[in-house]
Amino acid sequence: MPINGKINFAIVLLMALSVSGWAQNSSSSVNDTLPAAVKTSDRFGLKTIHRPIETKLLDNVVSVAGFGDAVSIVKRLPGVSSGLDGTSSYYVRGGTMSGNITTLDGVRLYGSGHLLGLTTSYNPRSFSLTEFQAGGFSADIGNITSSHLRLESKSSLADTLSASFSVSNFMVEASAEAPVIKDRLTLSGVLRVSPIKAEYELARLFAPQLGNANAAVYDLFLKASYQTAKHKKFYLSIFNSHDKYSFSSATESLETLGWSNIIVNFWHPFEIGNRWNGKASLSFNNFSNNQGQQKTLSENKNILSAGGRLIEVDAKSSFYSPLGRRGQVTLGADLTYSRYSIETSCDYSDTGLLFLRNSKTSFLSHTVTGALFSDLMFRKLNKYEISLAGRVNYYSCITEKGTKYGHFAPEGSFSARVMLLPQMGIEATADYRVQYGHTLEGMPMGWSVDLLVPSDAECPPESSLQFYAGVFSNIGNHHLKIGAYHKSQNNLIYYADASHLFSSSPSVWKDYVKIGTGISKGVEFSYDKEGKKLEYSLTYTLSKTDRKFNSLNDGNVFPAKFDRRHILNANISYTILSRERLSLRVNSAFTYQSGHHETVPSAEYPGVLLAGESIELDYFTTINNYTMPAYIRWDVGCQMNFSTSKRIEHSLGLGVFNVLNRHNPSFVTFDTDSRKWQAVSLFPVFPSVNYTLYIR
Amino acid sequence: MTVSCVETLDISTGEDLPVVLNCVLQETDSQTVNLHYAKRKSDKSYLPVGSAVIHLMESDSIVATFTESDEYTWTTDFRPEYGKEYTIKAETGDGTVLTATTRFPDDITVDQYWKRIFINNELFVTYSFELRVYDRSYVHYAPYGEGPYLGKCNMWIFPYKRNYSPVHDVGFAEYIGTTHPNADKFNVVGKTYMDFPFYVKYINSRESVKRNEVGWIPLLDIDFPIFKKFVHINHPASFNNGKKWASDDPYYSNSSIFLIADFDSSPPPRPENPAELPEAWIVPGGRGLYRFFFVSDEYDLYLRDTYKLYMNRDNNILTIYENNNLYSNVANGLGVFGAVVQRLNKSAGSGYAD
Repeated sequence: MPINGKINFAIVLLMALSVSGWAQNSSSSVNDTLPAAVKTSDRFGLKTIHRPIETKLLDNVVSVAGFGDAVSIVKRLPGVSSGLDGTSSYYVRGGTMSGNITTLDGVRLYGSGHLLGLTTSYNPRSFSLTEFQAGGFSADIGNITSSHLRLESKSSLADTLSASFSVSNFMVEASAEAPVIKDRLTLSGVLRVSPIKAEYELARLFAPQLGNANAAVYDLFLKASYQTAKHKKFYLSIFNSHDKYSFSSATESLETLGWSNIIVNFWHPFEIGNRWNGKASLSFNNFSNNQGQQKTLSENKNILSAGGRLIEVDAKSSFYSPLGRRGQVTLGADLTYSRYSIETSCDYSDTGLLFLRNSKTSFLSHTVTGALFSDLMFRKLNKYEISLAGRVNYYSCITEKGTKYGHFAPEGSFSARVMLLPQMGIEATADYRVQYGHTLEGMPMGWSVDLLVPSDAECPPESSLQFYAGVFSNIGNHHLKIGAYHKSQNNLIYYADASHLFSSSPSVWKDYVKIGTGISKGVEFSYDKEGKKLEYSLTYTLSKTDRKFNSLNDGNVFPAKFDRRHILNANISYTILSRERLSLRVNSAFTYQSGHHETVPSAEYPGVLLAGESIELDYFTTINNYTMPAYIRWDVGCQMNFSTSKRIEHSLGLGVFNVLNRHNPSFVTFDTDSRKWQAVSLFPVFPSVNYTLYIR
Repeated sequence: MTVSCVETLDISTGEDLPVVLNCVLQETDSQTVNLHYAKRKSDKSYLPVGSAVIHLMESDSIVATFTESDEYTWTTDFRPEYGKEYTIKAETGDGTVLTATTRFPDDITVDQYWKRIFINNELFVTYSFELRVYDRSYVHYAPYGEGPYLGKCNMWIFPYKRNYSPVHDVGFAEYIGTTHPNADKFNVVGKTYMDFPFYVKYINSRESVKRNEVGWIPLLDIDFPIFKKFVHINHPASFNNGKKWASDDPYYSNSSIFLIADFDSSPPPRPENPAELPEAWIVPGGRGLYRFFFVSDEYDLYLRDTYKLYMNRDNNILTIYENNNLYSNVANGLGVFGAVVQRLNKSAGSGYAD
């Protein structure tokens, strides 16, 4: 059965664990060594333009990975379409996956997928503030066209030593925070390591027919917070995530993929006089990824590989000050140097793997982006809040061959919320944003193996123009919101012929990048009820997202791959017991999403080759011409927290992912033996358990 | 609890099946058209179109009419003329009218020159080729080319070992290299001529041999790519190989292209069925041969798409991405209407090829 090798890899690795009954947990906990999230944008007591993601919401997430993360909450929000089942990929208001950016304390995180895309590389324990923006972007972040997931670590100093230890089926985690110098220096760190390799080997004891697999997955976040006697603060953090997988089967094939991140970030908040505050930061970012295949075909060993590396150094400084009684102004500058390198190879030889002599081809570019930005905000409590964000960028790119490209672009965002009645208001956002980094997207599974390429004359910067308007209401603990958006995108890239990615011909990949446009429009609805015992929410999105590329699909419009017409999410949690030393809560989540689109051939016909060879050719009518069956999933979970002493607390989570055991197809494949189409689903019913020990 | 993750899915996009027309004009007295509907991937056989009227036209004048041989095949007795443009028009019983146009390639000759060299008592040869328009009035044997050089053309060059059998698809040399700057890179491999078996013998030979033997000039130009199985070249109208070492020496003139292949002296497997031997291309001597296909522009575009797919056919990591239609010049249908002229250089020697 010709299933894609990478998918096959994931299926074997993950399903093996599922079959062998390995459990997962259902949540992380509020009571970690780094405190829970705080609401920052809920200024009207209503979650509106910017969505704060509270840590307690993560407790209600039942995921394949066994624990919730910010992305699993983002996927429940209106306007967000999920990627493939159980993975961390998502699409916001018809944007691209690469248009979604995640920042860790202001530093852009590339390749956030983790554990085969089942979760994200940033540990929710490491970040005390998580906020999601789908519009009305602030000016300090550039190079964004779709959404911004902002993660910020705790900034206060610790008073006492605390630690935690957590075990789930896919992760083992340890965290600690200690006041090294009381009121001066705090060190904290969280390390997660996946035991997936050991679990897989255990699964092979029950299923010896499984192939050999190897996996190394971990992430680490270390932070030093220092405060001088005069309350000047300095922060230094190191983030490292690593994913590396290989799988070999009896068919003499070896699949490899991997990616890693190293981020070093130093920042210093400061005050200037009585009115001005500021923040200066310097960061280093090193992201690399690769994928490869070694397979014996026709007695030849075929070695294909593709990989990339992005090294980025960013210096940023911003200042903010009150402006009148109700305003605030922010001014800042941002300078980023990026070094993009792409390495591809295609070799047919008998030894080695990945980047052999004479087989490697590299594409190297250097870019510098300078930006000046400013935010203006005016607000009157319970009356209005208006924000204006402006940013001017100058981007320059020079390739290894000396090709130069420069681009000047202003960007702007506007957001406003006005209360018309005590319980009702209107809100609107408008954004024009530019993105200089493209992603040659491969499989939409949240794996971070897509190649990053810079903008240049042939791949001009991507831009998006987006409008949103709606009404919201806040009656007691009940929050209602409905709005509509329209988003147009220019210079989207479509990698029309990914098979050339592996060619060792210099820059040949560029010949197959197509430039096009996108339009997305939709209506978003959300309703949620907060409460001490009972909480529930309902979100619904009706949307349509199209793409148009002059050199694809005969120039006709076609639906985006994850253009899901209807997206419905319902969540409920109920606290059964809430005592000082014991709490118990149950939760449930239901999702219905129209199926995504696949491109399947409508027919096949014979090809006429030279020298007597023959081949069957596929005939495609349009891109994304087949709509997959609807995605339906119901999850249930429960969370129990209890303490056995003043300093010892425990958290136990149980959950079942996909209670209905519905086989939601992720993609289709054609079985040439039976001559039938087959749907491949990744995750059937999936139980979970998680345990965390807190020491304070 | 079932954990099955692969289930049969009924996919019907509800789209009409297009008609497929495949016709490649040859230098023969009979031409063939294959005409039928495309089939669903779940079907086992093609659906015939039933009756069809197929004409071959030149400048709106019908020059040949095809007659039905079987439910998929139509033939006609017609020999195309070099350099002429032909249009095919096929009207099926359901009223579908398919049309396509192509130009029959020029009458081409491939002049082949070679040098031989003994290294450690073993014979090695290297070749240069000149492409010329055939001058059929030129009756006597030419030691090397006469007449005009060939203009723009599309070449597909396959290297074969000895005893190539098209029946069994055996005898292909694995790799071919060229110094031609227009070589298409899509099937380039991460190899150099240094990976070829003979290079070891060459590199171990005496310095005087390496320095003095003009026959190894291509090997001294190390910066040329190696291709798997064949090389595709869009030869320009006016070609100059641009190599410093080239001269007006007919053996290595500025108009020459150079080819090198990993010919192996070990004989390939022969057809198991002796009855198939007459169909085999038996090379009477030498270490191998080059087979040149000169194709029309339309067929060239089609072949490039198709061979790219063919070369990747077993790599599902690549074919999973393939969801683009291949080139077709057939209006209202699929397939290709093209033309091909073949030349086979059987052995090391100069003169007109087959």
